Amino acid sequence: MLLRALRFVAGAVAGFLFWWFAPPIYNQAIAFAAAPILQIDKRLCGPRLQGEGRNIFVSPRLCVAPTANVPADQLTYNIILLAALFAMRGRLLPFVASCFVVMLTHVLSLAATIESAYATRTASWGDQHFSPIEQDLWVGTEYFWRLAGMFAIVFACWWIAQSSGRAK
Amino acid sequence: MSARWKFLLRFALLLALFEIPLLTQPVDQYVVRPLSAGIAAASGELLRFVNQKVTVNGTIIAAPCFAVDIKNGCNGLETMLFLVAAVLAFPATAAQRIVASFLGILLIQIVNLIRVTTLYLVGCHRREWFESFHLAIWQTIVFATAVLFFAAWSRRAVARA
Repeated sequence: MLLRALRFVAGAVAGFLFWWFAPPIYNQAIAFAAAPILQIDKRLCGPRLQGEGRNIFVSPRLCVAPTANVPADQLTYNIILLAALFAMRGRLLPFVASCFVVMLTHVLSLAATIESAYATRTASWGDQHFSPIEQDLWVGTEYFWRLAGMFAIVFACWWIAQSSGRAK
Repeated sequence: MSARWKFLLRFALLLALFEIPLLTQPVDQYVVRPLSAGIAAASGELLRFVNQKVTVNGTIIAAPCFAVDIKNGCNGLETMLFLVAAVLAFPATAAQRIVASFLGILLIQIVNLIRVTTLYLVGCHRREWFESFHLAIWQTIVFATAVLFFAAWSRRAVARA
């Protein structure tokens, strides 16, 4: 019990250090992966995503649209809980697979957050280019993800790994 | 479909069912804000107990050195619903689920009360640490509490069955 608690804390510390120090590289990586998804929405004018410290700066390339600055570290801190939960059992392969799933959700949540930022946080530009339903949808997706979804995916990964470990 | 996937599907559906209404204006006005105000009042009392000269106005705890506004996401409600969704999705008796939901909600609100008071103290004395504590550290602790409580409870529920 005590050993498991210590492993949990050690995992949380490792996850926190990753979250704290990785953004210059990690944010660039998720920005690179999210950019092609955002090209689908022509209203965003082929946005270029650039990691800047703990944020990701979005600038349009192909037409006139506002720029946006997204705090990417607010989308990625679920990695701390992931590391803490998996450290308790110390099984590497399920952890690596779960990291891949969670990182994939970071890319998707970044894309959704940028859509939400353009839909609702660009003053009149958002009102002109997004319908009220679209605005509600994007902001709802963003908040649902940030309030509970980002932890639910960690919980789901851990639960699958737990129950498959138990079954073996 | 195996039991674990059934559980996850039920959990995801219940989570969406519980959490999405939090984004609507009437729920925010009549549920989220009164709860947040209650947490602010309780946190204010706790802070006054440890000799902090704070005033509470609605959802805001204020003092000359710092002020915190308890909003959606900081009142533990989303974590409570997360836990209740997991408990209800898990195959257990109704009595086990009711007891687990009640105890889980109580535990999360106690942890959340500690979160709000310590966040105020961090903001007052180490403001540069506030953002990291607010997001990464405390949010992780509150959700970790929910997950670990569920893990412990579900193991016992299976053992009893």
